[in-house]
Amino acid sequence: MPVHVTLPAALLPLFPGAPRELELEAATVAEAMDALEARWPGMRDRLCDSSPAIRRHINVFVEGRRGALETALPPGSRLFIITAISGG
Amino acid sequence: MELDEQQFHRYARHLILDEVGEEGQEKLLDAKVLVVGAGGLGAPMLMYLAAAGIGTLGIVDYDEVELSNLQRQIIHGTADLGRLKVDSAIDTVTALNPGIKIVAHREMLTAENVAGLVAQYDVVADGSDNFDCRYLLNDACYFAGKTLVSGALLRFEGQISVFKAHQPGNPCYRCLFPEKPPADMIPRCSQAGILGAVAGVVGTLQATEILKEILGLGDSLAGRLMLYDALTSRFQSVKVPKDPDCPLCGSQPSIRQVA
Repeated sequence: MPVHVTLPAALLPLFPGAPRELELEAATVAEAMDALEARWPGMRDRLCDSSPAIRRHINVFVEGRRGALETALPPGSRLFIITAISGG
Repeated sequence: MELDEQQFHRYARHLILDEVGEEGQEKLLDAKVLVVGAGGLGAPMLMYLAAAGIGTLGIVDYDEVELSNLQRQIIHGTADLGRLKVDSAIDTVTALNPGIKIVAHREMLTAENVAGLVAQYDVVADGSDNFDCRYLLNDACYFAGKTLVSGALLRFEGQISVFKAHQPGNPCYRCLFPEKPPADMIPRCSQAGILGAVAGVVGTLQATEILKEILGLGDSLAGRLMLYDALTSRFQSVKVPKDPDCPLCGSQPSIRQVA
């Protein structure tokens, strides 16, 4: 069963065709990042640093709880990715 | 402070709320709130806070009103083009409610002045448009023990939270976003756009949270981040735990002063 992913709205203009919400097959957050990178090259670099780790202005939430690259994604779970924004 | 007859009429719809009443309205009239930024978020915040009878409203901004602001910054009008936003905002809120005190801070927020500004107020609202201000306000509010009501916008999205890391167990903005993004990693509204009314939604939510904080009503957004997506007409809320390794409010902080 795929996982449901919500991408940061702020990044969508940078990746034409990327939807706000999508489904993909991944067992961990890291695998989800691999899948996103395969579809939209360059997206992983926007979300992860070279450590590798989630960038410090990005957060991932799995089923509403903050996660990291190694966090498991149970089948059917929701991965919510947000970025800091500064507009006022 | 006791309400006079005019105030009984002006605030009548507050007074009939059992949760507010005369005592609550007096709390609002005694409160001092600092709003940083008289832009998209500051506009609705200032107007609702003034209308609600916040006794002292401070406004920090050094920008002038530009034509491209008017699509969302409804505190300013076409006749205000070229004026300082602080002055334009003061005229609007004074017309709404001449019975409150407005304090103009016609200056840029800096590491040098932020502590002095924050110290003068009970609650601080972040309606700024850049990350430097967001971290300055977070750090200054933490050191001063002041509650920070934060809002941010981009395109069709808004983020709202309340930070009171000076109280045990509560996170600060750095617990959520430890560092600002590298330059050009995240577009600004001037680059990516903002649907005007989204600023109204988020700024009004900030004003509501400020009133709740002063009145001691309901559940605070402290420890949660609320996200509004105008395109899906959806609100989502995620828990923001305190980061024990936070460089500001963690157990071994490396940030000892605002810088």
